[in-house]
Amino acid sequence: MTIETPVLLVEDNPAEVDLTLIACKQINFPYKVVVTRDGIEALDYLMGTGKYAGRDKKNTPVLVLLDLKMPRLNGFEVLERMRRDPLLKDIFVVILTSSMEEKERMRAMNLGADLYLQKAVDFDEFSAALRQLERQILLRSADNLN
Amino acid sequence: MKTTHHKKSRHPASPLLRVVVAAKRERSGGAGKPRELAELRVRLAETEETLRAIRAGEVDAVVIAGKQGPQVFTLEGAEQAYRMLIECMNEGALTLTVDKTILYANQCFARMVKCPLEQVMGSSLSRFLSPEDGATLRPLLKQADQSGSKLQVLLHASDGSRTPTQISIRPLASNGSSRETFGMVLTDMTEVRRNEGMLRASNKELESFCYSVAHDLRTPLRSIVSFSQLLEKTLQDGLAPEAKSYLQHTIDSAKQMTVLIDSLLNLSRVVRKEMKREKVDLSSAAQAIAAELKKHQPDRQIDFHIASGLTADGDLELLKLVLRSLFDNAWKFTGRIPHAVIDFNKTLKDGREVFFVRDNGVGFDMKVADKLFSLFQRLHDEKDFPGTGMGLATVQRIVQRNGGEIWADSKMNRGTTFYFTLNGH
Repeated sequence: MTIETPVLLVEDNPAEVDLTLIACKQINFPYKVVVTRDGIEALDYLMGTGKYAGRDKKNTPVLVLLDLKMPRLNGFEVLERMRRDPLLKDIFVVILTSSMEEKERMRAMNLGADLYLQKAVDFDEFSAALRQLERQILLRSADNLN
Repeated sequence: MKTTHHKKSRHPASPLLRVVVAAKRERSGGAGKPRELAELRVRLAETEETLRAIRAGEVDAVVIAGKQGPQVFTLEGAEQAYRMLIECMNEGALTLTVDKTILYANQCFARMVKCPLEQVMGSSLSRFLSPEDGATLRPLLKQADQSGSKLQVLLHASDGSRTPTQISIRPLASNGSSRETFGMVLTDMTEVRRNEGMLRASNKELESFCYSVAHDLRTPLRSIVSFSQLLEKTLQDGLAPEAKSYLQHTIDSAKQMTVLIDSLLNLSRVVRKEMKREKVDLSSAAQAIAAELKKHQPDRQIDFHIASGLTADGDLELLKLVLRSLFDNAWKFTGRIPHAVIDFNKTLKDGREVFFVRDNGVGFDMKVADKLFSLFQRLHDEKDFPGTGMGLATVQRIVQRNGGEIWADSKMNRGTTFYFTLNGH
């Protein structure tokens, strides 16, 4: 059963989008995955502006999977704007990137990322990481209820 | 004054110095006009010969013997070469007093400060420096010794422009004068600064290249591996054994390439990393690495002999990487030994404190020892001992960055010892 609360995937590379959607399907990821192709589109979705004007903003994503290197507005800029916005600042944000540069990781964590994950080259490892994320979403939701 | 005696001679103490010695002679009194005329003719001939010799460059100095003793008048020659050298230099050259009065300046200095040479000499060097640089220079002049000292300043030219300049100061040997003088060479650092800027830009470019390698190359490799794996899963039984093996080769090769890229990035990080110097407990670090290795393969029969109290000054993270890599190596190459032993200790070699990691593994042929620390060099078959050939290259760079050196001693099937020094220990 798909939970209507969305997970937002912000990723410009079509192959990466496919791999993430396939992995979600294989692990029976229960959330509906919404895909936006760059930072501007992601913020439009989150704020209910642009092509997402009129979207029910109360249906806040339970998780944002954020790539770093993207056209127009990169992942760091999206994260920075989210953490400044009172309605978006508490959303669970996981950086999903190929870069293992320590500087990038530090920058993302300093901007308020909750997790920094390097995309595993091995597909099964990547699927396992997504399964872990599903558990973390549940734990966070339980914490919020308490 | 009249010169009545003239002879061309070589100076006895300096065979290269050609001197004309001239003596003052009193006019002879009471002589008749014809005699006086003859005497004058002789003196004229002597003087003409002296002038000819001077013009021909055959004379370096004229010594005039007078009542106050001999006086030396230097002509072009002995000092000419040095003067030419100073004047032709691409650096500014000055002599000055302790209160910074310029006694001599070469043409280059005049060009550097864009001021006519005659206005430079006799003026104060402070005129061409900021008050701060002037204040920094003062104690250097007072304390300058023969070893010399250097200072970076901004030289102020008369048109208001400023040039980054390095000043090298040296006291000049006293020539009997009561005034202490200093020699100064001023080097225009504009070009050096420009090169430094280019180096910084090139480093930045290298960093950006590393980022591209990390991100842009890893991404397509991930696609190759993941989609090949998905293809294999999707087709499963429908795949002929050959096709299955082709796919597996694709996956293995792409994964291997990812490992190589990661190793290269690791090396690049090690080279670029800002060094933090602290006292590092090498024994504790080695114990932790040994425990981790044992945890991964608990069934292996292996003894670690790690000496206690081994410490070194260096970057903790980088030195841990050195030990990690050497222990990984020892662990890997003792894989086929029923009872492996890995030692970590220090010893004295040629009076130096040398750390070593020793194993009783397969060893290698010392004939190829020079390849040991080269990039992508592997001394064993990939099938027997997998690896990237990057580990020891990375270790060598870290040891060198910590001011040390590393070498190995090995015997086939008898084991290998890696020796390394740190900070000139």
